[in-house]
Amino acid sequence: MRWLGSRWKSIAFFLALLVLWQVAVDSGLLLRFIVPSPTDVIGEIIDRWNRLLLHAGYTLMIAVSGFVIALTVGVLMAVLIAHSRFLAESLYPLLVLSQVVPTIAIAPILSIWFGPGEVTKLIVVFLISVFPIVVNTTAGLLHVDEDLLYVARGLKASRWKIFALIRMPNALPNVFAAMRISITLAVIGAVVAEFVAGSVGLGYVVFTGAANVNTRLVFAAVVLLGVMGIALFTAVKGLQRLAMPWARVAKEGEA
Amino acid sequence: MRARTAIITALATGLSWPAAAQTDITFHLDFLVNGYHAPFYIAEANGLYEQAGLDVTINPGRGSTDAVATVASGNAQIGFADAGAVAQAVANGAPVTVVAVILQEAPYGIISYTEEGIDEPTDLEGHSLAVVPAGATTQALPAFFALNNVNTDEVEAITYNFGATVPSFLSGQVDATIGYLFGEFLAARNQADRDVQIMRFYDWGFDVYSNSLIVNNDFLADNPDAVRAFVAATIEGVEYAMANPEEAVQAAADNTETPFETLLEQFQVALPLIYNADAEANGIGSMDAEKWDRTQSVNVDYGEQAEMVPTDTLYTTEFLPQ
Repeated sequence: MRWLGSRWKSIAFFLALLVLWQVAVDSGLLLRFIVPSPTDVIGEIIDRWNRLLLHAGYTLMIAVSGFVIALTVGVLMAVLIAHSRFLAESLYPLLVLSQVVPTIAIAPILSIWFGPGEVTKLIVVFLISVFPIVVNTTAGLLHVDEDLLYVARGLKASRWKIFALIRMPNALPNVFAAMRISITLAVIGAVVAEFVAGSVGLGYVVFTGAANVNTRLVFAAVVLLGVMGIALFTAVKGLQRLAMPWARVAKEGEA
Repeated sequence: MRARTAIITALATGLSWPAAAQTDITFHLDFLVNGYHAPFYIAEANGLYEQAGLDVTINPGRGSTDAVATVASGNAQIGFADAGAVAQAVANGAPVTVVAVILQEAPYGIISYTEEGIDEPTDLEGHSLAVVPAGATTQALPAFFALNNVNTDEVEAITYNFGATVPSFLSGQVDATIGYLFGEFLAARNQADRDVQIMRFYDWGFDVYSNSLIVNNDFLADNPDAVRAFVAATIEGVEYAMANPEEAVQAAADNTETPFETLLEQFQVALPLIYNADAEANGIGSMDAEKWDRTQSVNVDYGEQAEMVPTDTLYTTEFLPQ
């Protein structure tokens, strides 16, 4: 009940939007084949639940695996960049390039090079989600309290010790902030990859629905993608609380 | 027909190829699964490919250009792609060859409400038309207009993204839309409150080939017998689908989110393009130099293709059943 107590306003706001949407479609204000009503979409999800779950599972698998690769490689790259000027100057241009080239434009080419399977999809997810991790982690590793470094060096701490005991803990909040951005980007990446190749995943379902002007199916897949995005975002927040129990981060709205 | 089945069966059983001797083939389609792909899926489901010594994986594609590129790069050995797109790619150096033409007629046209009276190409003058930014229909439109002396200044072409043309037509934003017989036309007809008709480019001078079986040239050189077996089994799939449409369409339905009823309708409207008068006279998949020349020349005259390709580098009838 306490949970509800703090949230009823948000829930009421959301429900009001849904009712408004339903009325707009049922009254004919919005054409049904352009915008299906919430009950249409829920019906579609129930009718196709088993198949949709299969597609959602695939998208989740691609998004999470690609994200884990991006996180691992991204943090590693950040460590290298923080410690080597040469690597910083050679890797950064490539990273920026990977970010400014629209993934949707190169995804079809990647699918021609690597085929329509999982390899292409993981590459797309990696390319779209690695950038925030590298940039944020590098910043966290470098922006360390100068006094702390001064003391550590005075005590003859090795570079490794400074990294493990000062830089990395200092960078953790940055890593998690980047993870929250990247996990949502990873879902986008998976959907983009499924648009351009293959025959499984929610991105493919959206594409199929659009090809047959079946907007119910499109919306059903979009709703599931939304739920997946929110769930993953929340999971990363939970992970942060587990990984950094010492940090009591202010809640949204408390600033 | 019976003789061919007998030969294939004799080959498959008589020589009793072990499973390891099966030739792996990835077959990349022109687009998402549609009713006209039912012959391929039934050939796969009923073991026609397997009996021919082939282990075939069918992958849905994302457009003919994508299919040609996937076969050219070797990520698929065989593909299904629009003849015009293939000719253009071959002119640009893509190492692929057409071995059979399945859709004998270009399957797109102008979709409009019957009551609007857009019955001839020039009737489009004074009307708005939804078009898409790329693809076979976009390439064919200038040729269709030129062949029929349509004053293009009088046609208000509005570009919509893929998937948005039918909703804009149904909601009255445009008077007509460009589209495929087994795609946009069916979608519009089934959701409209009035009669909808299609004016096919093919019936107005744009009589060119469409979706064809293409093979990677290296694969073709190394595996001529496998390609011959693939073409034969595919044509057998077409014949089977003609005799058993519902069973064939169900095989396709098992591989897509598109409902069975939609796929069946798509197959039914596509069949007259697969088994037209030419196919009836010369066999399913058959092709001739004259129509290939026409297919290429509209590409060169009105499209993006730089020059005609010598026909022997573009296609061969050598792999069709004799």
